[in-house]
Amino acid sequence: MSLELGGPQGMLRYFHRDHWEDSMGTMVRIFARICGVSVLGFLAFAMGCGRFERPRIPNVIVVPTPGSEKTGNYTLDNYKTDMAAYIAATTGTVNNTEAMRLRNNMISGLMAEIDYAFYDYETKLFLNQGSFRVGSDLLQLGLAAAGGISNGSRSKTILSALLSGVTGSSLSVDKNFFRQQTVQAISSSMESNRDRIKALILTQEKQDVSTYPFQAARADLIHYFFAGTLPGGLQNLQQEAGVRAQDQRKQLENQMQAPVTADDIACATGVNQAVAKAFADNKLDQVIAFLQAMKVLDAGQSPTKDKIESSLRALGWNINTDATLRKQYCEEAKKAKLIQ
Amino acid sequence: MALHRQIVDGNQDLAAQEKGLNFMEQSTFAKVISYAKSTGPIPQGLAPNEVVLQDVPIGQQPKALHLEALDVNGDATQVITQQLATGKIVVFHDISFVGGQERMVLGFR
Repeated sequence: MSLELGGPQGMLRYFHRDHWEDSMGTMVRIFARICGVSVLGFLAFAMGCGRFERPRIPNVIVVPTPGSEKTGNYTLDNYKTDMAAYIAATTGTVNNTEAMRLRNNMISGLMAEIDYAFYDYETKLFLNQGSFRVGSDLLQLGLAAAGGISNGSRSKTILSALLSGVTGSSLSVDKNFFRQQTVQAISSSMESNRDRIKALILTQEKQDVSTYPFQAARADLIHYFFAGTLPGGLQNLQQEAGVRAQDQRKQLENQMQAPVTADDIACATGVNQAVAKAFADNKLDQVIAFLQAMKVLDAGQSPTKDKIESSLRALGWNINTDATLRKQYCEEAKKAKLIQ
Repeated sequence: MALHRQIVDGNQDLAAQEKGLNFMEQSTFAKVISYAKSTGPIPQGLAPNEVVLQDVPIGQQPKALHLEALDVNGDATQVITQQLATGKIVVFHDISFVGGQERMVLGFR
């Protein structure tokens, strides 16, 4: 049966109950084309690439430890043993040296396990997002290609609708899970936050157990763990963006001209005219005295005309943003008899 | 002559901004050659306008600047004609913040 619809009457025929099987056949053929193109694309991709997200993890660090030999990873049994010893060292007469050793041992062990879990998670996060995006891209390409090679406007309409659905779903996942951030940005945010907390914990290890008991260290380690999660990374990105926005705001406010009064204009105009006359007459003593009082020229200096001019311009820029300096400017201008 | 860039608070009314620009010209021995709202990211609550000034030789300060404001899509012809009739020239004609809102601001001297 041809897939050509032949106008409105042809479409009505297809929607008629007697042609239900033909319609289903059409849907199946369309679906097969999509799958065919997508699968071809995926196979080409997969065959060209082996495992690429990380090398094989050496046996000495992989978790769980293969075989029965200990490789140094910190197990639950290790933790229970150390905790029992720590409690004994901190009960009654406190053996601070031993308690600190045990506390720091537990911190180091837990930190290493958390680090392993994080890097494994980070690798999978990259791979999962990458796989999702590759899959989504291949499906979209397949749909677009199938639409190109299909006959009939009905087939093209169906494929176009499917393509919109797949594109929308991809955007939704990106928006709702990754908040439209790249894995690299989230990963970088998680790592910087973890580094900050790790530095704090390592500094605290120097404290005795009365100042930094294991309970406090455990709270910090929990914070350390959750800093390496997707929500933790996104939250840190948002906080960093907030801090940057505040810095930008402060920078802009500092650059803004301070409000100007009519007296300010009268002062600036008066100084401008007095300086113009002084330059024209080549009588710059009052101007030099004014600039020395404003501390832009050293006392006893005999500056050139160019130096005087550049000092005046620079001072003029400074008084635009600094209201206190502006007030001093006008007072010193009066004292130097440049203005009344 | 050298060019300089400065930020003026667009939350001020037009008269205050006019005072600000005139003060800037006089204090720095320069003249305004352009004035428009800042193009960079604008933090909430701020309304920065960016002014560009060019140094003038000492003793050659131009006349004072006068500002007029219209709606963004307003017709500037009438305002320009009126100012030209008084012997002024147009210095700039761009969108700036006035009282925190976007307006078409024209500068004359």
